[in-house]
Amino acid sequence: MAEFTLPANSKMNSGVHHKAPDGASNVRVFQIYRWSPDDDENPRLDKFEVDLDDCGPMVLDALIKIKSEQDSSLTFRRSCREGICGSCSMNIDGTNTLACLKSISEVTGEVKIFPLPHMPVVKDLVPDLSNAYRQLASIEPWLKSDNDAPEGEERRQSPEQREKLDGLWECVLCFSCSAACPSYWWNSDEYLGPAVLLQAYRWVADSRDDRTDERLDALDDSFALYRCHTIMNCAKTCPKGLNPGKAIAGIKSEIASR
Amino acid sequence: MADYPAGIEHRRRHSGVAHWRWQRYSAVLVLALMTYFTVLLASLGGLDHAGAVALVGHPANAVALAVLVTVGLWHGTLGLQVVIEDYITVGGGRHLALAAMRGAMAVIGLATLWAVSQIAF
Repeated sequence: MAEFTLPANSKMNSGVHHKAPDGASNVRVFQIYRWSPDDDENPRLDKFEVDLDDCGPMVLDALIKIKSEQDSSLTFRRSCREGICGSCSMNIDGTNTLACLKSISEVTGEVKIFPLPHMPVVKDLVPDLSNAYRQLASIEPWLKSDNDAPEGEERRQSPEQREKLDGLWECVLCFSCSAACPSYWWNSDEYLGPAVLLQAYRWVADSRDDRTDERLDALDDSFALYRCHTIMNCAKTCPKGLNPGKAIAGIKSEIASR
Repeated sequence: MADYPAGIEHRRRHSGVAHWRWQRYSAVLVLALMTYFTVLLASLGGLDHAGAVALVGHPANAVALAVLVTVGLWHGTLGLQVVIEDYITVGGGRHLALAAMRGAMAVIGLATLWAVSQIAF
């Protein structure tokens, strides 16, 4: 059966309260999930007081400041700091998003930060994305053409053909959508999830790819594809404003119209 | 192309498109038949028992009710199948739950069709 409660060793305790430095005038409290595989402790929720007058505007700025000044053991992924790499996906104020694109001012009250839900945790805010990456590799997300590209030229598309890729190519594979999808929570072993299915549709919709039928054959499975029940949490949470639910509907439509 | 997407290598792929199609076809049929059924139900209001039995027993109404029961329960079966598959793992008794659900729906369907036929004939 699906599990509706946390195992005993996953229940969260209250943690350490890190005070703001003396003289801080514009203090916000960040509550951050902490868990380490290096001890036998349960997860805890640490509180960090941050002086926003001495901090960048985004949640990622606050996390970097906390790591630099208050607790260097705080662990999270980050790289580009501008919504391109997809590394800093996490659950902020109850919504999966990218910490670098989430403004602190958007959150009222204390800023609660957790790792992406329903994924194994490596440490603190770092989820284990092995399963998601394995699923991504299995849909073979690269161009497959029976013909070589014209000598010295790119493979050409009409503006209309290229337009079909809009809303798909922008995905940065942060997996915020998959981690927000109840169908993925319950059946992530067999359901590919919105992020991977959006990637799959990106190649189904590409006029330059010659393996559309093969791709659709592989996707036509009652669990791999049809666990999507159009709950649409994916579209609601996507920090890039994409609509994986629409992409999944596109795959279903392509299969149904064959 | 991989024979299977990751996660289902341990079993044969089973197409989901027929289930997806019939969920929608049956939904449209149920919508139309429920509209008819609502009108039929409303028209029973002014009738005594004998009049109501005669109306339900009219061949056209009896056939429509039989179709409504069949399609409605079929639509319900398809929907409950999704719920069971979502929440019950194979190890947790998925196949048993599916069989029990389908059995219960068949019993309800047969009982209802028998009741309609008793009124009609």
